[in-house]
Amino acid sequence: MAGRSMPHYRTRASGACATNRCTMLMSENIKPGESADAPTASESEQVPDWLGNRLRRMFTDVMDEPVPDEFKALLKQLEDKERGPQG
Amino acid sequence: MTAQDPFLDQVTALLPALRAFGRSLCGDPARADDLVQDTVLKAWTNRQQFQTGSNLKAWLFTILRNCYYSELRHRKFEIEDPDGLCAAQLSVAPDHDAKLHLRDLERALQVLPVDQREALVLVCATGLSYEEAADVCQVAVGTIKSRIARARDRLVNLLGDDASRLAPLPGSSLNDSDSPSERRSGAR
Repeated sequence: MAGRSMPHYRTRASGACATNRCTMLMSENIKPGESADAPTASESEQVPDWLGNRLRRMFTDVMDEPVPDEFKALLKQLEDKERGPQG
Repeated sequence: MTAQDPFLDQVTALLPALRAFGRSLCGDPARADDLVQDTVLKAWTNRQQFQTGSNLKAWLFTILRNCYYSELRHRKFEIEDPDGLCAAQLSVAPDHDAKLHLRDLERALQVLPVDQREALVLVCATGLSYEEAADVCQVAVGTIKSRIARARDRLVNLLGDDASRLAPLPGSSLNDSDSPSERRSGAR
């Protein structure tokens, strides 16, 4: 662990979109390129609004919960471990 | 709030989504949080494998999914309906309030085969694209679509009757009963 070089990732925001906004994407948003992949599928996998809404609601309800402290502790632990050997 | 490692910063921002994905996969809040903890540890251990610029959310979902599957292999006999309650309770779905309604959906999800459940949740709830969902599940986009179609048919079958009886959810109905005006008018 001591000899590990600094990670290469950059802080690109691309992967970490604002958590709430992610859930706003609708299932109906089929990109043009994707429907070409399966010409008839755009209709066939369509989820009715009431179901899509409830799925998103179920998901955002959990996302709106405060994250338990144990996670903060875990992340802190990882952070400290990383920092430790490098002073 | 602290000057964290940038990778951990991003992971932290995605914790709510990971918890929600975990819970919709396994249907159990405590178990889901265990899965998320495992996911964070694995992600940290393998962070060098994360390709800069790619979708961290999808990458973490993939790890969580793998954690879930390896856990499933260990509890093989409990997969579909851990408490034996899902199917039984669905038929007596209470229809007095929308909160319970959502609980029904959680139960109904657990009745689905896991591959259909994850496809539906990834695309319709987490907001991943079909392609991202296909990556997470390591299948073709067309497979994701057909799994979603099957999941939808099953859920419409399980919940649809109930939903139509309740009329389309107004969308804001969850807290309607808390609105003061309604309470006042209802009291008289």
